[in-house]
Amino acid sequence: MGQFFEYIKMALDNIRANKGRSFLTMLGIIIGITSVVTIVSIGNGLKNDVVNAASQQTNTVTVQANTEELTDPQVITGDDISYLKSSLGDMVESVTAYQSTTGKCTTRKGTFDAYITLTTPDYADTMNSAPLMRGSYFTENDMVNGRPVCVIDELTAIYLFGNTNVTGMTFELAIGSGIRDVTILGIRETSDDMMEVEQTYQAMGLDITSISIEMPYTSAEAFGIPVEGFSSVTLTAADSDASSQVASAAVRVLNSRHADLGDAPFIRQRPIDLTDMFGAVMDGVTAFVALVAGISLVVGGIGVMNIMLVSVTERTREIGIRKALGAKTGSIIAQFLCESAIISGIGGIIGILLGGGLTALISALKLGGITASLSLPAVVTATLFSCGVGIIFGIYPARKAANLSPIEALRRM
Amino acid sequence: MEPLIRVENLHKIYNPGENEVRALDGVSLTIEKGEFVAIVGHSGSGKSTLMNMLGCLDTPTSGHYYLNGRDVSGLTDNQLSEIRNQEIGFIFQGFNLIPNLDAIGNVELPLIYRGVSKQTRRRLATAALTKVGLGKRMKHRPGELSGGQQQRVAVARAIAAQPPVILADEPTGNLDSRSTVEIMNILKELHKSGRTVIVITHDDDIARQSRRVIRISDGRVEADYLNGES
Repeated sequence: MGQFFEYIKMALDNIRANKGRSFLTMLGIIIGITSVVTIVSIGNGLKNDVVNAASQQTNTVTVQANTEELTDPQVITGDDISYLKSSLGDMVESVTAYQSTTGKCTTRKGTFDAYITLTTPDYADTMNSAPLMRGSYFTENDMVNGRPVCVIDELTAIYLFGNTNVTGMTFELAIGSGIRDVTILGIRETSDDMMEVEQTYQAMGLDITSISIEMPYTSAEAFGIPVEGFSSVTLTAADSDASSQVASAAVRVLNSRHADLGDAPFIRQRPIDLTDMFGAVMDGVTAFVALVAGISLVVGGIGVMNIMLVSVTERTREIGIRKALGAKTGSIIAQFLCESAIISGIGGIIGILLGGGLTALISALKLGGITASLSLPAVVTATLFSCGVGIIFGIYPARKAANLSPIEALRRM
Repeated sequence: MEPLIRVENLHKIYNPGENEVRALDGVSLTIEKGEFVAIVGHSGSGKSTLMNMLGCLDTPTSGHYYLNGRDVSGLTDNQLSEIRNQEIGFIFQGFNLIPNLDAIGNVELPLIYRGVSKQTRRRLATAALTKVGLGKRMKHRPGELSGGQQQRVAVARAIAAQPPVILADEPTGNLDSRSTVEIMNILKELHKSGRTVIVITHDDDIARQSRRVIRISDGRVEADYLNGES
């Protein structure tokens, strides 16, 4: 063991004597480790962001018709929704269901394709939608009476009328073959996401307008296409800890009300599964990119091997002297292996520090809205890997050095 | 009593077959403990090959070499390393110091491979450097020393571990006349203090300063005599 420290000291002396070259050799490892650590940290951050975003909505649960058992899943009726709301009482804040369809709306500005959500008054509260800026949402009364009323968003208002001061105004809406005048009850702000999509379309020169209209589902009847039922219902639990109870209660209620459809026609759609899935996808993507970055580590390792080979050639005489003075094969191998392992190790440490720094910088600047978080396993793996690279790629040069015959080595002047 | 060095019918043949070179062609000799021997020969005579054999840097094609009573002709590389480390102190024509290490570091080198503890190493190396008159130059690197001083570092390195044999290959070949005298005086000194000193040289002046001369020619011992008797 005492000998071992001698080899480390020899290696350090040599690295110190060739500072510039040692640093250049380390560069490959530094770049490799930096990129692996940074990429894994960014991946880690993205995953955390997704998981957090998803878990914030866990007080919203969705119960859906089990499509594996039912041929026609649109079996949840308006009555079911009202019943759920009254029977679950204080446990839920809102219960809603919706169907989407498309249509065309016509104003003086022209005719536009529209994306229509047929739903219940609770939709606004359940779906985390942007708040209303004018007017009000349609009511239970509007729904019960199937009135042709709607809520549109800011952007839609501007498309249809050129301004947002349009509550109470009507426009012509065609769904299928039915055509009706529809009255605007409220305007909601356009969400930032939607704005971004819109700007992207415009930047690409696409003539796509994002007209979105929310209407009581019952009003569809007036267009001749009544909504018979929904395939899923979304509930907001009053207490996010109780979201599971809410879900199972809703499943129980619906199952008993639709006992004719089978044993268990309804199941909970798990948003948490989605989280897991996103997490898995992110892990996969991160692993892949880290692997690509890991290739640069291998390249760095080959750089270490190259320089060590050059070093062996240059120091043939030194090796000859050492062997003449009694160094055994193992001693020479140990000396050169220590050297390559230390070079890679130091490179690895610098890489981890740089990677950590970059991670902190990305988080601080909120680049791309990512909160990167340093991943401990990545750091540990990177450290072990860089030392391993040093040792593996050091073996060949070290063996080459150790197998030199002392007279051959000394003869070279 | 078994002599320190006994060589029996040593052959070294390079390129066996058509263009074979018989660098050593049946050399037999004995060297007793405490002798001061010069092995002399022209270049190509085989004296360097003999020096490699005696220094355990190379193995013979055939024949036997008993060092301290042990047959070392058939040993492995690692065993030879150990023998060199324990039994032989080398002094080379080109000094062969490691440029990155200071004088004391160079002198300590064989002691490191012998596994001597750091403190003992320091003590032995300091003593050896003081003995060759470099007590004040211990922290100098080879590049900061003159040729004569570098060779004295090499001598210190050869004697620090107190090996039974000092093997000097053209030790004054790269030195000016003053340094040559210095180095030869140190070697004579070592001989007087009881060490076995073997000098390989082509220089008859150097050979004349030893006790015994072994003249090599065409891979054979041509003459073997004591100075002052011939």
